[in-house]
Amino acid sequence: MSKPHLALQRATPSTDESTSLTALLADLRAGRREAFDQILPLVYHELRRVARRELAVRPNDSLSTTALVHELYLKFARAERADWRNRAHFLSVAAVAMRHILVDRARRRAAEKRGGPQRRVTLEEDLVAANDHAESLLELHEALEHLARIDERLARVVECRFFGGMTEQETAEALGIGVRTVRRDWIKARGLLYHALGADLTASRDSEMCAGA
Amino acid sequence: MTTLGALGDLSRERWRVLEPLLDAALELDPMRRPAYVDRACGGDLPLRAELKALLEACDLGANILETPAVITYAPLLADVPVGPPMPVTLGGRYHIMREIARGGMATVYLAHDPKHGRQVAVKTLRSEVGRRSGRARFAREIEIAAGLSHPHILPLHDSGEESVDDNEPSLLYFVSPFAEGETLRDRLRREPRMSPDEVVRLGGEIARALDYAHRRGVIHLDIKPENILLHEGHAVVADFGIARAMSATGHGPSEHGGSVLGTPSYMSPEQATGEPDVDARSDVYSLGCVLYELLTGTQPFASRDERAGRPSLAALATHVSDELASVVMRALASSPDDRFPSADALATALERAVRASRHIGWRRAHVWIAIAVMTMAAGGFWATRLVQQHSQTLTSTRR
Repeated sequence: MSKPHLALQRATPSTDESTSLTALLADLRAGRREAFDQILPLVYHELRRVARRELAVRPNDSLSTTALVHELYLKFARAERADWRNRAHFLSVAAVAMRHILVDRARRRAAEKRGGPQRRVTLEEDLVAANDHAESLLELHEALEHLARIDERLARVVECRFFGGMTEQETAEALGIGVRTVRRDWIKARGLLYHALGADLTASRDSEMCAGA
Repeated sequence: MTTLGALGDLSRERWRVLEPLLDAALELDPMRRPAYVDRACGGDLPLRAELKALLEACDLGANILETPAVITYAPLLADVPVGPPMPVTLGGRYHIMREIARGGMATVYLAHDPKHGRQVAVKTLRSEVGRRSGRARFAREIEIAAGLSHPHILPLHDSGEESVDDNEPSLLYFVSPFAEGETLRDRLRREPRMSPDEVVRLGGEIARALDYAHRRGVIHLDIKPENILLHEGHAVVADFGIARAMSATGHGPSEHGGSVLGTPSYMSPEQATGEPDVDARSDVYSLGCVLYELLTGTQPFASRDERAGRPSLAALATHVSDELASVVMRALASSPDDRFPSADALATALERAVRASRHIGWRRAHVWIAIAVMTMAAGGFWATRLVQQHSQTLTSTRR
């Protein structure tokens, strides 16, 4: 799978693009990897919007990626009676989109912290938390890029499991590998990431506890 | 992990050598792995070290990234600007000028009302008023709240529902006069504790406002520092009727404890547990929480789990008279029956407490003056000791 570029189109997808999602997903399933780059901007835009709306309605709830992605998928599915066999592929695209949304936000955060205009945030703690998260996410993102250079599939597995909140089965289906392989890859990938980031990852787990409060 | 460099140093080629060995080792029971590493690597010491380091990392990393990114990095997502751009006008009438404040769920804008040529504050909340019954109740609650007229209550001019985008929940808005000033929360940020005299004065004003509303059948249900404005030094209670109206939409604090509007730290136990007959004494409790925070700089119950234990009087006792402390603690009683029967009774008790404490205040001032003189005379280390001893004596005699 070609590495998706980060320069994403922000424009609202036109209806033409949206109706072709089924076709694009079918292409993806058939192994036409260019389809991935065409789907990603659509999903990115939609996922961002769904996440934003969810957070506006219930800011204190912890979101579930799967719930978000499913809602988004259902929307597409309803719109064009999409083939349910495409679901895992769709989820994997959504996982990449989620990674891009987060990296995008983290980069903006980091830039603001370096002296750009500081956005007004309700609580000081929110600001600190967001800055810490931005840093840890960018480190993880970088380590994941390295990982992809060593072993592309391991990085894809992390994307599906961590950024997409996908199950082992869903990941297996999306990547066209066995569940056992997914399980093993997930162990190896986390081992390599731990190796690269070690204490930082542990730190991000601690702050995640606070974030839930 | 010094044997293997950072991930960047591990080449694709080296990984191809290491991966099958790692796979085989991971298949084995952890106890049998060292022997396997020895056997598989033979005399290749670098290989052995790398494999061992990788196995160790796989062990240590076994639990990382378990929580999906969307939860781990929720603060980053929360940072995504909320909702579509603000509509230029609301209800076809109020021209939004700028954002004044933003909370977890609500945003307050400064707007211009051309009909009356005045500036207004528009509070917006996202919610669905889906069911017809919900809509009717919402309208009724708002109507009652709009009928309130009291010097310490922020009037509600108007309200409405606006659909911004088909895919977004609709926007509920509440229009009030725009009052220059800050909220009690802003004030607490600048100055974590307020003088007992000022707390009693503001507390009295809030309690009188609550009592006025209670007698007209309106319970606030969301009394907290964020909802009390300070206008020219006086307390003005905002958001009357909104919590109740929002409960019609399924988001209100009276319907379920973990609501988006009611704030757990200030919610009465009966409101938090979702009891159906929450009455005026629930607001008395919430005001008690606010008074406690104004006096001590901390919330009496930092989280709902701590409800089991009562906040201590000691935190209040050092600079607050016994009379005032016992008024606040009575307002904070877990059982509604143990609280003041009405907000009016709380207001009266606050006034009485301040009269009593004024007398005691003088007595205590003399003690402090004596300590200050001794401090200056004794100097340095001993002075510190003396002050400590005196304050301990003070505290213990007060118990």
